Amino acid sequence: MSAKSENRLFVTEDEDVALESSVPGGQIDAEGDIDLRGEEVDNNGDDEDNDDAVIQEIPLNLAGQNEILHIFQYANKPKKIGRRAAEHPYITGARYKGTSSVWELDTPLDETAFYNKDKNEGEWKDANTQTLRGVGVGSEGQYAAFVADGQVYLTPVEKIAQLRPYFKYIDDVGQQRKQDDSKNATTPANQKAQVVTMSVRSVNDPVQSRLAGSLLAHKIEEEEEFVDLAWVEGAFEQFKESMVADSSNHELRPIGDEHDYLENLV
Amino acid sequence: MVDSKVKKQPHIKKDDTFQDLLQPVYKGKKLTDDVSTAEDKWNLLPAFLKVKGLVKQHLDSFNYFVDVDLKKIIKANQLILSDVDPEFYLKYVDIRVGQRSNASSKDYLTPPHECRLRDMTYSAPIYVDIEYTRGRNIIMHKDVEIGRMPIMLRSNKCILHNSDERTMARLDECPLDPGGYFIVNGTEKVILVQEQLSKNRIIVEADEKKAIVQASVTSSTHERKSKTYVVTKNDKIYLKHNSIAEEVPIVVVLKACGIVSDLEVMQLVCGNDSSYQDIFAVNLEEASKLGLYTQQQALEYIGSKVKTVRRQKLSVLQEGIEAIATTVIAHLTVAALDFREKALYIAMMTRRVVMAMQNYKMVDDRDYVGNKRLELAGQLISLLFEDLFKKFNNDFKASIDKVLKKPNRAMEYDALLSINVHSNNITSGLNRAISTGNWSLKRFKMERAGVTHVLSRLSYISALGMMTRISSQFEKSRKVSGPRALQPSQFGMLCTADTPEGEACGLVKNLALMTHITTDDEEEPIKKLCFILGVEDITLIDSASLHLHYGVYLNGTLIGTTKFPVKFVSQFRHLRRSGKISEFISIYTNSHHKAVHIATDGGRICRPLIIVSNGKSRVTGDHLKELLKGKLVFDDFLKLGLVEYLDVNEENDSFIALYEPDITPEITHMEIEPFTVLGACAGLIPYPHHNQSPRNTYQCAMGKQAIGAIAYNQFKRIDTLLYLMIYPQQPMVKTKTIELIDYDKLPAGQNATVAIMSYSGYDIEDALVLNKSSIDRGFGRCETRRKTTAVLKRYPNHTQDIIGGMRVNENGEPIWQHKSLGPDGLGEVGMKLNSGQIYINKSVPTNASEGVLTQTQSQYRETPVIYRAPEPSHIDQVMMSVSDNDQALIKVLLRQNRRPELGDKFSSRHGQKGVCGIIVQQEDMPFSDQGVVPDIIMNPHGFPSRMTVGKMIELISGKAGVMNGSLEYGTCFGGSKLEDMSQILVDNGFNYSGKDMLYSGVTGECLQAYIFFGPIYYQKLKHMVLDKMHARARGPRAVLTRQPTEGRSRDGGLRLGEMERDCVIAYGASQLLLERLMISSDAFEVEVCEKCGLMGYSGWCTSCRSAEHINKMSIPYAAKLLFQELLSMNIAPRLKLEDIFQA
Repeated sequence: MSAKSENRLFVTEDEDVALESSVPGGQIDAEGDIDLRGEEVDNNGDDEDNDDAVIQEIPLNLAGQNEILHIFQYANKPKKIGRRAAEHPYITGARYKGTSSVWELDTPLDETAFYNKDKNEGEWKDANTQTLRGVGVGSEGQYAAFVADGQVYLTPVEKIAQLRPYFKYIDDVGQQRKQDDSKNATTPANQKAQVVTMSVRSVNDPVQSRLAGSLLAHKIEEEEEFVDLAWVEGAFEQFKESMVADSSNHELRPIGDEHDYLENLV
Repeated sequence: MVDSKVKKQPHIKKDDTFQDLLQPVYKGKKLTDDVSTAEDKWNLLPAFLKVKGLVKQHLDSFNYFVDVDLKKIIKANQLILSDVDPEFYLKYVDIRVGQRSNASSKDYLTPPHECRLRDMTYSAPIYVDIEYTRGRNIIMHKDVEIGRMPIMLRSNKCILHNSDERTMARLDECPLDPGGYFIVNGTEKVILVQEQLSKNRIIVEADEKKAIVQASVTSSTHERKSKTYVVTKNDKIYLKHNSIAEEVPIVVVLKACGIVSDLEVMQLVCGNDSSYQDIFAVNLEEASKLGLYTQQQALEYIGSKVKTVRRQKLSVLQEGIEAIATTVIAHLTVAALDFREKALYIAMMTRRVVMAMQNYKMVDDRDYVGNKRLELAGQLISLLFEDLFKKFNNDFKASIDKVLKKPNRAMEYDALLSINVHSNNITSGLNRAISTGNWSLKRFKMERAGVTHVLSRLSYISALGMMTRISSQFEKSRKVSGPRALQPSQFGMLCTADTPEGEACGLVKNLALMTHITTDDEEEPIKKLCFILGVEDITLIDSASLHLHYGVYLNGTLIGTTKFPVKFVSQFRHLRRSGKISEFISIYTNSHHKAVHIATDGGRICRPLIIVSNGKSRVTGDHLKELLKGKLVFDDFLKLGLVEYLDVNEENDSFIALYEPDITPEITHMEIEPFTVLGACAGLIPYPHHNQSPRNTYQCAMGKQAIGAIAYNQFKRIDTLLYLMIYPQQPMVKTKTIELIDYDKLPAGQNATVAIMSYSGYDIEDALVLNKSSIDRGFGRCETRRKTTAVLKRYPNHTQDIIGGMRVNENGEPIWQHKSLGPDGLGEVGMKLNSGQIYINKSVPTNASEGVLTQTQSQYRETPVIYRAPEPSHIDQVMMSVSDNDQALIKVLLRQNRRPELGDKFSSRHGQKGVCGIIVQQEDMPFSDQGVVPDIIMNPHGFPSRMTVGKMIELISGKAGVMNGSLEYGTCFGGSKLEDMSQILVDNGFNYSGKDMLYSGVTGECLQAYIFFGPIYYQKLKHMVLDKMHARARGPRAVLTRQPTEGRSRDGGLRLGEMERDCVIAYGASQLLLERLMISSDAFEVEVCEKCGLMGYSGWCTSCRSAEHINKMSIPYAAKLLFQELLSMNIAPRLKLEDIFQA
């Protein structure tokens, strides 16, 4: 996961008032959640690292307890452009639904190549942005880390979202077509007067609350409004500094010993 | 070895005369060993059985149900809300069986034996703690009884739990009785272990000829059970589910799960493997042909195909979401917006299909034991209880609503008052299901019959065999060989010999001796542990790198991947061995699927093995010494990481050595004892490894029919039918299993001295020649005990059945029929009953159906219980008690003492059965130099074709044991060595081969050949001539056909069947035919009208309206019946008569 998906670090003080700082992922030296993994070995996973000698001891800092870090994984971004910041598409808009933790990012499409302008103007109604959408999934025990001055700084990750293309314009067109169809299909037979029976429902009708599970989640998501957020890039250094400062302010002291830790594990 | 020394020493002291014979030259068949692990490790087995017992799987499962599962069920159905009053609620807080909340000890239950005798159900009350509203107040109430739960004997809710021999004796229980069954209405019922294909696992199957591959998964949760398939059709892959009208292209399903880009679909299913990509590519076209590009479009497409009927109307999109989130792969229910977990599961199924399409060998084996799960009593009762509890709650809610609906109630409604009304439903529902064996659950549309069986008490071993039996769900009539075949993976888990012959062959199996069946374990902590051990969470992994590493599956569901599977697995095992996680959780790597599988689910069979590390067994001699001293118990071996449980799948990931010398560096485990491949029944056979395999199977079936001692409380029992052997003996040639299961304490057979020779010609076809004096001395003598029950009913008009006294003749003596009655009208204990005599003189009131007011003076009609049997019986016990419903219950036990007679069936322990062909005076039988006369003479022709070499070795070992004064062992893959036995014989002046010179009892000359002569353990089987002999001169006829009835119990005739008829026709014996088929059967005189050919009556033809042409003739009544039935169908069979006196 680490090499492939770049981390956009979103630092929000609050759910609603957003203060973004983001950096191109390439600048992060050791990203990902490495706290419990041990050393990262390259992808030949099968070999065991039993005779791993300790080369260097690196001090760990746990920082940013009050930072809310979301990690974005771009499921469709090629691995190749990973570290070349310039080739990452520009983000024009970012939206977020707090309760359902749904992210949407807009990137403008490259209209210079492989882009059919005629079609766009006709059928697709100015579809010149690509929307990426993802649902944040809570991640307990995952940390993002960076190295500064030979020290590792760990920040807990709040949520991780995998962003995938979301073709709202296709769905919109489909919806429109369906409506048109139903309009066109209105034949005289359908226009006959019909007796409509209605019953008064109480507010806490059990039928309404019967939606459960995923349906309920979708309904809540649908009814929730997006909060528009501003996209800021190149704020990594600033973030880094604040983290370093943060961790120098306080010192972590273990309250239990090794034994307690092992007890807690299992 | 230490064990054997300890056992033998008192023996040596007792028999001084044999002292010199017993000098330890040979008894130390193990004397060559040093005190190391090699031979002593078997001591772990008794230690295992001490902890686990033979029926532990039943007890564990039931304990888990009452302690854990019950609470889960309560939690899932916690609240009762009223539709009428929104304020009202009732909440279940806790549930307990057989113990009140503040009580320090369990409730007193009616002891099991009393339940057996009084036809009651051995059950304990189910208590719940509830919290509910009464008016404005919230009220807590503890210990509300909602029904009674049948209790499994010797489970932790049973009063026999952990009780010693003394308490057991006080309660009239046998201390050797394993428990594990229920007593319902006085009968002992076993819930057999059911074998099923494992739930929530992907099974891939392929038909190479039809080019079909399918992956299926049976999802099973508390709420839902459904099956999802991923199938191929014309090389394209579809998803199939019962509630989706047609097959959905797999890419559409994945798009609906949010995997919108084709690239990602490809990554998830195929990874980087180009051959998989080629196979799969065509499916991508399928979706684009349908014009489906977005998740919403895909969801709507699926939603339009859903055919579930709902009360609530959903939009097409909602239907689609519902289908993907809950219907498909129902055990992974998505509650939020993220379908990734489900997408991955479906992608994995698809990947498995693609793998099988590329290589047809990449399929799963349905018959592989690792793919099976065993369903035990606890799980079955849990299903039933949840059903009943839901119904109980519904009824309860309905009655609450009914009251709350009334607008002005005089006082506050107390819901507690109406809770007891429905409690009978739970009690009777449980009782009915267990006593009939019909498991019908409306929730899952499950209708299963024959789940429970009456515990067979024919012998101790048959009861034990029943508790270890496993029945599979397969249809018996289907002619498939796969499920019936012996699977290599059964080794050590299921007995390789014990299965019935005939239609259930291979479908009914038995557990091996040292097995354990797991119960469900929590998944969440294990999942957490995996992440701690470095597994990367599936929600964080991008699709491209999913297949780069090994996947980690928890109970069949992908939870993450690991780069270092070997390290991960070894760390996980290390934690298990150190006791940090349950010892029954299994983990293994499957390199074909690039997967690490972890299983925590219940119903897996597993067995303990000794851990071997660095080429050394972790169990050492010191450990075993401690074990023998009692300082260590079996569970300590688990905790110390010396022994661990492996299930079938994990066994496949290990290298298991049979014996210590076999250990090489790569060996990971060692068997505790190889003879544990056999089960309890096959364990009785001495030297089974020398027998032809089917013979062992035959013995397993026959061992269950052998008459012997049943239990220590056998004389206190009043069972429908009980066979007891009068002088049972423990076998001279024992096995370790015999000692472990205490067969030597409740044996079923006798050590007979057998001469293998021909005698008299009455020994053809395996018939045996029996020594009359042996029979006089008590050989093969047995007892049958038969119960008769009578209930003195009470009727609504206050009349009731009564017992009349005895009737006397003019001299004041009882009449012959009443001779065995006492003054109370019941037979007296010890009295002899002849056929026709009465032993319960019951009378029924004639006016029982009249009302109380119109009642006339009671008159009684006699309905005595009359004894009818060819041989007289004695009254053994008379019991009068009161059953559950307050009616007097009378049980009379009749006893018959039987000595062997011609035709009684005997068998050795090697599948060699035979009937008694002749009983010979001892003087006429051959005798040896020592004057020993055989008890049984068996014809040597029984050996060549049967190849039961074990029987011959048994004879030699037995003979050596007799000379030596010791009991020898014939344990499978071990036991006393033949050379040692021969040496003992030689040292005692016998031939090494067990042959002796015999002299004819008739002429006194010595016989021309040496005779194989020695003791063999013989079982008397329950098939006895007395129960089967039958003849009839005249007797009852069936009403419809007027032909003689069928069967011995109805005093029926002996049928001259179709084939016999053919013989008689071929012989030309027409008059014989006429006599057999008509005159002795259903001859009937009819009157036939010669004119119309139809039958009339009393000299009158009804169709011709005349008496002119009527002729009388005899035809079978069945023929007359046929004619009339044909007439009723508008077919007129007309008889044309000819004059027999015509020229």
